[in-house]
Amino acid sequence: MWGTSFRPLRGFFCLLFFYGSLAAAVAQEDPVQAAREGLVLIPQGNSARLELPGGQALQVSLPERAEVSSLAAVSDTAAGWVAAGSFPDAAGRQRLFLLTGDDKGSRSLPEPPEQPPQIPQQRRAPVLLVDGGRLAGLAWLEGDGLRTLAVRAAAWNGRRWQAAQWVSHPGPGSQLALTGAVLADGSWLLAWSAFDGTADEIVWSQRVGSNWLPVRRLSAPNAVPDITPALTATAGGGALIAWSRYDGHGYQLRMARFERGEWRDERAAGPSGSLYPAFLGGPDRPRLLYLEAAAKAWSVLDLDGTGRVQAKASISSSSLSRPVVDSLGGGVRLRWPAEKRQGTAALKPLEKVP
Amino acid sequence: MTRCPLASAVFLFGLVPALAAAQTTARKYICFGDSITEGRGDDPARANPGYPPRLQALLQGAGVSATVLNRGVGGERTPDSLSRIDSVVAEGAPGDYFLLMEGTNDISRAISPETTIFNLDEMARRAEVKNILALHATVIPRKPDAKVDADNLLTDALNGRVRNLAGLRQRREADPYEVFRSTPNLFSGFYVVAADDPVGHPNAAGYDILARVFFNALQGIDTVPPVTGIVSPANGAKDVAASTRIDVDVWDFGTGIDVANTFLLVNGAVTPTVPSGNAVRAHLSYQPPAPLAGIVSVGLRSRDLATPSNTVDREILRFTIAGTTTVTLQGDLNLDNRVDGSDLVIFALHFGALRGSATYDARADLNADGKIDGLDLAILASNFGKSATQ
Repeated sequence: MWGTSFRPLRGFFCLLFFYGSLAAAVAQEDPVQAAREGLVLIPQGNSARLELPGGQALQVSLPERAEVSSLAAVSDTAAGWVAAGSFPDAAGRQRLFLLTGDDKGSRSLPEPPEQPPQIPQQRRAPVLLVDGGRLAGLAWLEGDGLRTLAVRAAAWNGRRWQAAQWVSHPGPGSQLALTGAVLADGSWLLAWSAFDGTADEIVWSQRVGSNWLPVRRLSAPNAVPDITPALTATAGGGALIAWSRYDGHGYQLRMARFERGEWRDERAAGPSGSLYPAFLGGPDRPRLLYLEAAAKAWSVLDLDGTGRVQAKASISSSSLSRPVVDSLGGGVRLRWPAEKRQGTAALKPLEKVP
Repeated sequence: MTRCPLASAVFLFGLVPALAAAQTTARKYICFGDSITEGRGDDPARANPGYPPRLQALLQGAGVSATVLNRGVGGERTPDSLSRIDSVVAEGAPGDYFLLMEGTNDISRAISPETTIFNLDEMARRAEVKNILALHATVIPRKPDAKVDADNLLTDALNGRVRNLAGLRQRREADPYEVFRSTPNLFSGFYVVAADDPVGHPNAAGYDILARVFFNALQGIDTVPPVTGIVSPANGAKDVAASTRIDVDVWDFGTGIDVANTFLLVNGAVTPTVPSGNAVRAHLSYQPPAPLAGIVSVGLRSRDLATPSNTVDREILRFTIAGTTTVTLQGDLNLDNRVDGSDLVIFALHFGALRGSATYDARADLNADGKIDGLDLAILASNFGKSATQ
């Protein structure tokens, strides 16, 4: 079990320093980082600074009060990217928006069309589904209230959206924290948290061909919250998921592996107080970022394709905002652009468990 | 139905130890929460920002031997808090107080209200294990240009659940949300104006109010009217069945509800609903005799047993019946499906406001240009007297 095999890392070190004034510690909008290293969108009011892998940066205009939730590299051009988010329109409806571009500029893509007469008040938290460097689809939350959201998805054929599909209708409570990935076989995998009448659980569905499979729980039913899942595809055709579950003391990071249509090898993957996982990196070598709240540190795990931890780095930080992760030789640099602070740490191989 | 407000009030105040004991015994008051407890947005000249030092001054001024600890952490969400709660409650001793106000950051982090309530309950429980008295507080309103839940529908629902939690667990409750939302010029007078503030923080005057809310709750000074708990249908719900029943829980954490003078209104008309429950928690359940249609406005008219009484008489929720074809009628600011003098009155309150200012209301910015001006008035005037069809 991961929960008992974590050992202190010999030679572990961390360094945190500030390169500007301390920003007020409030819940800042987190930067949005793509799986491809170096592609980062940093919200700045009604615009954003888009950092590209080549080291260039663009200032991108966003709709007023926009929230960007997903960013991915696409191969239309060498520096191609696509971003998705939501914004309130003049009538007060929360709508989706998509931007795409390269190192020279950006342009809008249409949002998936609504299907009158049902015009939802809320369309939120879109997740880009990118297949082989090409935008293949979009999944999002939709409904008339934040506690009555459904999960929907639509395919993009390069020019227009196909009709949106229902992945999950509104349930007995909140459906939130949508995450998704395109697997090597081209199928789409989505996961989110859903209140089942007792507590939030992680549920999932897979789109095989053009049909969504019935929504299923990832774990056996339990009476404690399971929250904030993150998904990534792996090179072997599967996927990894990470989320946090209340363990009787705090929330503990858990992981599981998706293989041949089933979740396997579910296990604790961090200490109590490990939260808000996010996957970075490619299918061959996924990287997992998460908060260790008790230690007041952000940690990075380098994983192999089966989810086994190869190395870990941690950086102490009082910031609860998610940092940007940059590779730095044998280590990582974590940046909090809004707070003008950063730190570096070595990635240390995890000791073998006897 | 049993109506015995005096007995209920005695029961309510019997839930907590006599306040007089706290006035003579040195007590710690542990203030736990996020940046709004920490004091972000307060006067930078203050060495100790936020409501806790103000609360200490108020308590000491009232003769209470109080040490108030500020244990707020900016940006914190309730799942994070559980990692530090044990070390914080370890600072207290039996008979001390644990003031818990947290959850607004959960809304922005895709953490459900159900999980937030679970976490708040767990934190309060851990304080109670050490015989520290837990007090739940509602979270303050989000500013009108917040990126998430700017209309406070989710915040309102969360606060209803916070009250429900406090009531069911027989814990004390402070209601900054109710006090703030009824404060005139709230956002212009009592919030910080900061473009990069994602939720809204009080300024120095706002923290004065916040401290007073906690002080009153601790001292048993009742300035808050009966408040809503869990309601059904949810505020803002769409596609509601025409035969829906309307259920409203009403709580009072002070002197108690004047149950005999508590009424449920539907579309402005008093219903014959007779409240059940008692002075602490009343329940109003109304089954309309005929199917509802269109947009339904539900109001609460009530008062408490304080002298003078604290009263409430306002819309508490609004929902839309399935099949309603809502024609957007520009200028129908109060959403009653017609443009009339009532809308003009609302419009006048916001005339001249710019987007980002506290008096700005997007409903009145009919051409969505960021200014509420004569152009918007012209749009309203062009529809004056018209009704939307359903």
